[in-house]
Amino acid sequence: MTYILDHNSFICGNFEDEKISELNNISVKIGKLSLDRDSDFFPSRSDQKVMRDDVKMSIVTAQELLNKNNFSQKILSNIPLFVSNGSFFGNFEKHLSRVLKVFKDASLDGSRIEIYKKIYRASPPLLAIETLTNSNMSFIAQYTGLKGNNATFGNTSISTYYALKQGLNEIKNGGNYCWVSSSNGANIYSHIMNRSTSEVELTGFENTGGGHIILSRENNSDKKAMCRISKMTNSKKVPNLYDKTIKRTWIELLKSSKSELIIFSGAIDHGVNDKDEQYLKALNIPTISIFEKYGYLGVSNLIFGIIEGLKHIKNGIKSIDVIDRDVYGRESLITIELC
Amino acid sequence: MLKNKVYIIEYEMISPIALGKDEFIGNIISNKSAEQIVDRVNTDGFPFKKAAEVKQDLSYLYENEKDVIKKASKIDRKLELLVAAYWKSKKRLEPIINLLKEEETGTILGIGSDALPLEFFEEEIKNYTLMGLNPVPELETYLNSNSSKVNLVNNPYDIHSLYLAEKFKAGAFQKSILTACVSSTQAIALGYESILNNEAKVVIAGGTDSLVNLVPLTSFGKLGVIPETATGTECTPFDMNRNGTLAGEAAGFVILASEEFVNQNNIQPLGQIMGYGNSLDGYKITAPDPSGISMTKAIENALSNSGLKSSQIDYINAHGTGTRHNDELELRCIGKALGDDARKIPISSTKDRHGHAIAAAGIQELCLLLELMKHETIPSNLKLKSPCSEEFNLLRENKKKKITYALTNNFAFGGINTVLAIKNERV
Repeated sequence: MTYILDHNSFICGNFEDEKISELNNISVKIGKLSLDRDSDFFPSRSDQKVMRDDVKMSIVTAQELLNKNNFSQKILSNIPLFVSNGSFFGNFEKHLSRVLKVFKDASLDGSRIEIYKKIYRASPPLLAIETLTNSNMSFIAQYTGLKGNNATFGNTSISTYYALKQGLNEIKNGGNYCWVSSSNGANIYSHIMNRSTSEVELTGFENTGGGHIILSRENNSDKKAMCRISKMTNSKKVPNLYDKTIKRTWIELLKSSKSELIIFSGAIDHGVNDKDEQYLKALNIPTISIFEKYGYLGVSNLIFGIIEGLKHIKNGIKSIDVIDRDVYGRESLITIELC
Repeated sequence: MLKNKVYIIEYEMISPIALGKDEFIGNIISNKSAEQIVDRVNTDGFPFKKAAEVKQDLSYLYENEKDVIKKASKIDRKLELLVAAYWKSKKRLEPIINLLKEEETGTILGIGSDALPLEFFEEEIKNYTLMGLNPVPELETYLNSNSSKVNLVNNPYDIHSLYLAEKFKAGAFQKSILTACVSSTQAIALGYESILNNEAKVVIAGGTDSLVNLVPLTSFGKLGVIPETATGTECTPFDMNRNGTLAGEAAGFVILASEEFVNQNNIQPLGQIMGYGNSLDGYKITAPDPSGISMTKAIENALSNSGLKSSQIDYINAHGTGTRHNDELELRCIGKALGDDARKIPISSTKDRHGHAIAAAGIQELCLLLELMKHETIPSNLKLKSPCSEEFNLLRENKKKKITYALTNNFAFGGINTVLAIKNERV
């Protein structure tokens, strides 16, 4: 059996309009993270230089969680770490503003050598590190001492299902603990990446947020678990890359469910979220929408779904289904139960 | 308890030294290096001019592909390399594809970081900027206005594993691993695990990446890991005078299958994944842990999880990037993990031949290893002149030798260490 021992998370509640395209008149609301710079766990100044904002808060919350749970160094160094990550460009313009300026100023008929010399000079020296896809995982390891089996999955919302599944496998195969993290940075680029997978013109809001969950093999008085994960399953169909229509088949995943509550996510848009809610009504089970509460959280959809579920487990609900659909239509289900 | 076996039943590769796996061995034996002046990016103003790129036009391989994939492939090199690898092997793989069941087949690929090829869109960027617009989002919004879920640029990373999933009818899962230079090595390791954990019976595992693109090439150059052409230094893994790596590109995959699938379908396996080791340094984002504790642990775990003794290893295909940071440390860790046997086992890095394909390094080197096993050949460290250590068997010439068991190492920026133990099943 796999239990959830503890968790911690970060999210922003401050949304700002971001202009995506002047020419096409596209704007979107994006969650802007407030950084807890006063935290004792805020990363060092040299590391901050190469961290996206979501990674900075991921490091703060990871250390807070570690501080609450006393693991010996020996145990920590063997704990596996599975991470899911969203967009890796925090701010393309910021990173490449000087390079883009070269393009602007260059006479395209001019000397190619001169233009490319300028481009090389203008390229930021640390870009490869700033946009490193395993940045969150490597920094978590650096700041917590987790050194075991690992992987970073990305970068749609089903990645967190895969990371958790890998964690469950570790426990099933004899591990005592596993650490699963997600971090979603919402920005213009994550929006552009997602918007053309959508069947509707997106008008919704995207949010930055992430979290950490510690999985455990045991639930005992020393380390009392918050719930157990009793089921994980996903739709086992090949998504159609050439058709944007959403085909809701969650009911197939939920057909033997005895849960008292469904927490769902997947929509990037209010209209799609309403249709999801309508679809789930057929089950006659109360539902909670993560999108309505927090906006579209990408890879952090499922982590926040589970954390939301834990609040209700604490209030006495025995079994909750947390479901998600990624931008390609892949559906997943995680059932958590009171233990 | 005996664990189930996971076999490699097929593989394919597009590499700067091989347009398809069958081209590998001839180019290894003839000591071909793909290190050449870059064509696809204008490096006239750069301090380095060379990289290992796939020089041939690949579009003929996938001329029968859907238009949107063809268009996206012209912009996204990672996608193009993967699409080409699939079409290169399509006909040969058809009998296997016909055996696959959707709910029992998965894909898992290691993918490199995204980079809009700015060099293709100089004029557009200039025009948008002169109009006072934010050029990259405007350009991407324009390029991505189509009726399919396939963007022409800036796709979610899963587009690659989903592309292969469609071709192989792989519904069980479609995963992307994003761990830089160990991405595809981890994809193979986790593909192996998902078969052991009954998540799938067949997994298509591999990766794709290209550094031959303006932004990654300049980024790596600025980091100081690509040697300057003016100094005359080439990529020379394990050499005392090594000064950097050879930027590369590649895509490929192996088809992993459970013992049950292999037996039921009477398939002759080509190799076996015996096990793997995977660890984190937790040291510094910019440098490996100089103590090598976690790197050593990854090598030790690859052996212990495989049930192999160090004396059984016939060859180590090293990560050997040719950078100051990696090579000596890697040798030291091999020495710690394998003890006295480490001094006898032939060790070579092949990155001076095909370049460092970052996220596709692991799959490129595994496909090459399978060909080396088939042809009983161990490649030399092609450009090695003054070894950084005399304690190890760093090959200076290609050698004919039967390889039954081998290790293949990859280590990533940010301190990730992944090692695969492979058995030759053609023996």
